[in-house]
Amino acid sequence: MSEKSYETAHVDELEALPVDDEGLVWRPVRRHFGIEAFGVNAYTATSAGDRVVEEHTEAQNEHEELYFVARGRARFTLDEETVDAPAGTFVFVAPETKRGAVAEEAGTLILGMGGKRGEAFAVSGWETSFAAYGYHRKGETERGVQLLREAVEREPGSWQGHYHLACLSALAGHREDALEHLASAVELDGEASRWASDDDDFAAVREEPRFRELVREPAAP
Amino acid sequence: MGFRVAHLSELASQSGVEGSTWIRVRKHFDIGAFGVNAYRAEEAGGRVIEEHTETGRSAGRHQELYFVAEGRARFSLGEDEVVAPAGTFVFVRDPETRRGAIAEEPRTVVLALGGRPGTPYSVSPWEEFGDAFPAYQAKDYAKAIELFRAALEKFPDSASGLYNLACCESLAGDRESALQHLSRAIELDDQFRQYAQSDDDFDSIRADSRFPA
Repeated sequence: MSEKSYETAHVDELEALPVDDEGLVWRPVRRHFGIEAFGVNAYTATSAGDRVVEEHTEAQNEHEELYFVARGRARFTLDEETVDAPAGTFVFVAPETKRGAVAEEAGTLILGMGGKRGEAFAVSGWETSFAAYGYHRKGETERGVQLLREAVEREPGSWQGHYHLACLSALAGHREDALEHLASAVELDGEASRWASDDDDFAAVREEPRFRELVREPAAP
Repeated sequence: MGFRVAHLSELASQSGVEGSTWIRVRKHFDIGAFGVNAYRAEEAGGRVIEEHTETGRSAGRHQELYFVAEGRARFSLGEDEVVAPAGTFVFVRDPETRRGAIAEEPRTVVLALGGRPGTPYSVSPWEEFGDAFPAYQAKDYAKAIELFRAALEKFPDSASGLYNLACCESLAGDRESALQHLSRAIELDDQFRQYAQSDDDFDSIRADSRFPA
């Protein structure tokens, strides 16, 4: 199999995955092209007021991020400050700074580019879970479940992989799979138990004895 | 540094090849995780992205992602041509593929991201040496010499860097240094022998018996 030497795509042709309930639409650029040298994504807003960059820091993976407002206008919040960013604005953010942005115009398009200074780029695990949840939000839950199953097969030692698969399985109504993968997650790392204890995704299995056991606090010594 | 904000129109820029403008994005923000620049052609028909591969001595074997931010560009990619209106991504995976772009509309702007898979990013030689060109064009040879020397500290075996330094030294009247650096450039890459024959910058030292024939 040979990979093509180049590929092109217009941003409006890329898959549009809803990421949250505030209108954030993710265009998975890096994923689409299979870029391995840096992270790059695009976010589009249908309406003014829609979220266009989710609130987060990059403290965990220590990524520097550069945002570029390619179309429209956005209002960035950077720690405690607010910045008006019309088309053509670059915003460069240090890893530990909290950042987010809301579209001020319909059709706003933001590019986000990132990587860790001094280290070779590695694809973040969040991409797969965001894509899977994106499919779920579009009404293609089974497609999301399949994506997460493949991720778990690739990395059976990742507790987060099992955890996300457990969540989406529960949402898809696969109760047995949900419990099985939650058990795997908890076995790999007790953090999974704490996450599951107040995760609404598990509504379908919350009353199951097996679920209650998995989220039970360990007995005091 | 929590964050820095700048508009494209505020960033320092300098002449690029064939009339394009090179907007120094990475340098402005001192980004260290990936390469990022922007290029602008003022006129339709003007060059916006220099024709190049990523396998030259000054290049970094990068994967490159271009994004047409404004206007419309006609990319040449190996043997193919692709017309790319604003909003188009062009990903060039193969460092050996020859790529370039011509503007089809006035004020076409293209963003370029680059990096090498499996390797931490470091600034490519062409970008380091690029710092010296505005001074050279402004005939501030003392400044250009300073900047070429600084870049050569990072890339001591850059034949093109040594050649360009020699040009500036010749223009500044420092014959000895010019001859020394020109020789070294040719030693590293013989094609510079040819260039030197017809390069006006060496007019003041061409008659010297040590000038490479």
